[in-house]
Amino acid sequence: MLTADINNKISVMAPAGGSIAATLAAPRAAPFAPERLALVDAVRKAILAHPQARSRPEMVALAYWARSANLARLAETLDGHTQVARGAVLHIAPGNVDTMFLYSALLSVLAGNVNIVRVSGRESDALQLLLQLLNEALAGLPAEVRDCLAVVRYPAEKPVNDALSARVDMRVIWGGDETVREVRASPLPPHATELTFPSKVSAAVIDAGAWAAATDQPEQARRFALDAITFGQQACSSPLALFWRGDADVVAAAQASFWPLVESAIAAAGEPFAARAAVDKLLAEQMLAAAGPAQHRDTADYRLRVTTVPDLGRLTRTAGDGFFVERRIDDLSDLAAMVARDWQTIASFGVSADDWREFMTLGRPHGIDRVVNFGQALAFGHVWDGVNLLTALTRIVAIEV
Amino acid sequence: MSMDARDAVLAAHPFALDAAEKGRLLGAALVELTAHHAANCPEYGRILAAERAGVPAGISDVPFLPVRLFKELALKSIPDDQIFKTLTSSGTTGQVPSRIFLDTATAQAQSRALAAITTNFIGKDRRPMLIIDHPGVVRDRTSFSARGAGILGMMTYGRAHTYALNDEDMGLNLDAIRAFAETHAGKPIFAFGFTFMVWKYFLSALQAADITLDFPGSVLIHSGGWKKLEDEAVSNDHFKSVARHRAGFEFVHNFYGMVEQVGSVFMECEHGRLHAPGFADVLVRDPLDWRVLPVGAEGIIQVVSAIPLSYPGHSLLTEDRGVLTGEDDCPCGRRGKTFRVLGRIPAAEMRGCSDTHTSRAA
Repeated sequence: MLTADINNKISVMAPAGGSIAATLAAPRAAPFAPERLALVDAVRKAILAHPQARSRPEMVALAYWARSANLARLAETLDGHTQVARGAVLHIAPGNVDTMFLYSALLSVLAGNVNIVRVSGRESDALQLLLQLLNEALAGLPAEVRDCLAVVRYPAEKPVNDALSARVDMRVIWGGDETVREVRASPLPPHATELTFPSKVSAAVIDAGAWAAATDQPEQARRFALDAITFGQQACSSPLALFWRGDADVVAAAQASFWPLVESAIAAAGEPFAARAAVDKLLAEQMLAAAGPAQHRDTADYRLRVTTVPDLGRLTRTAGDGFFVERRIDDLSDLAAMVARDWQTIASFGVSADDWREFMTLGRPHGIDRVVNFGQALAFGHVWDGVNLLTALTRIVAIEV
Repeated sequence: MSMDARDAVLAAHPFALDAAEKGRLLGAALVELTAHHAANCPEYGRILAAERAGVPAGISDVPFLPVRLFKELALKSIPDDQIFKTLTSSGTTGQVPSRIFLDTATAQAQSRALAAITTNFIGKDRRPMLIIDHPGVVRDRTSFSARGAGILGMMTYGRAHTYALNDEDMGLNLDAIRAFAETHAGKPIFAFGFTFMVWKYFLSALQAADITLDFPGSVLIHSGGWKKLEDEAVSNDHFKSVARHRAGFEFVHNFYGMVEQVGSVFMECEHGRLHAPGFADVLVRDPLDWRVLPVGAEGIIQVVSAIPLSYPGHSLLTEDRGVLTGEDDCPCGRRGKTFRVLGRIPAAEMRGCSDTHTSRAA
């Protein structure tokens, strides 16, 4: 087992009285076993019973995802094979997209694994609340069920990563390129597998003609704004850039009606305003201007800033909290040269699924893992970054007799 | 390109211009500089074009660059063969330093401005000078750190330069200090150093060794920021009191400045206020929309200066929060705006999916 030295560095945040040893020794289960469904349902109920959690859209979304009808649909996706749990899984959770660690952990609970989940050492209200709710939910379950999940904190030190990695059958690393590099320095047993979710960037595409014809412009602008600013625009899935498809005059008219609606939506969302973010936006827009042709859109204040870059060729994360670059394109194919491997989500408005399929087939871009409607950029799905997590968290037994 | 207004404001007494005169003279100088940099620094020209900036209507209308831009870009308004020296910010470990390119004209304007301000506080006579640092900091004259450049700049205003610290371990060079004290016993001296160095390696070391020096009527000038001292809960008042009792420094003046705007030295007067000299100014802005804030309102500090000719640093947005305390009304009699620095803009809350496990972030 773990040495006392390593054990002393690890704090178990949930369940109360839990330990790494208890979790590693806890029974595995069949995928979607009743006791595992009961655990997820207890978490769902704890969220919905808490007024503070109910007021946070990302937690409501988690509870909604965990409803039984959705889980039943998930279970059906496993049909056709004999699938069993992988065993013990170490999850390195992302930092402050707080709910993400629970999606990752709960999917693995449903898959039948036992799970050690390392959460960020940084305190946040949302994480505190989630841990509290998780503890409440787990407290009502039998010990052998409860112990299939241990949420822990430990200093980001290689010896701890080494010790835990050596004892698992699978490792799931969220949290960007540096985290992946750092955790990968700790070897896994030869049979173990690994999923990594490195740094990603995302964008939005609007068909200007479709925008002009839309009857629900304010609602669409609101969804776009929430996709962008819910996690300060720092979530991998939040759009950083907006590409307008259409002729120049149609695009100009669409931009003129779109951005004021986004500005109102951001103001209505009432996120706290940070001076640091304002300086970052000023820096980012001046960097763009210094590099080549650029125009800054007039906005009421620095909660929203938009820079038009006619020859935008690369998408990088600069400022957040309401900072966008935009460019007009004639056709989706104009994107092909720009799309890099780290492009994840496209929030799309007015571009048909067929257009996207054709683009992915003919343009063969290196990146883009998902294309979603406005309002769905942050919605977690069990297919993420091109991987079916549920399938990956189980193994297929080929019975061919 | 005519720089008449710049010449005039640089020639004026540093603390004699009232608000109206300064608005006219410095405003005109900044208009000249804005046009000069737009014409000679392509990046700056594009930055102004993207903001659709016209001719500035006054000091507060001059576009400003965040100081961090000088870490990201090598901005200059002179051809490479006119670079006289390049300053780099010391910065935090691991960060990219700012690079500031000076030609001879800018360097000369900087030293004249520094002279005008410094002599206003320590008088025209050169005093024996105790440099509170180690000699190595200025030894390599081809690569100037901000600290080395600052010390070299100040050495002009003293004589019989003596370094108070050892090269090897930054320990007190007691032999040198004692010899200096004996030679100049009872005379007012001039001491200079960087705030954190003065505190940690000089005043704290004197305290630890229970040594008391006596330089009656002496002046200590120090700069470099309070962040590290705030972490150790050392206030300006406490700093001054230890400097007085331990080293006999009767007059202690902190100043605010940054390598990105050479020559903008905002010196603290005997009433504890930082003073903008005539050729420079300080504005406090609301980060929400960058409007200028009145006396008493906290915001982000912007500094402007007539000095930077070789690089577009005549109007900069700092990384510091501050508040104006008055204009043309300080009891010390110096004209111009006074202000206080309230510390760095706090770091943004990390909310992304990225890099939360690494030892750096955790």
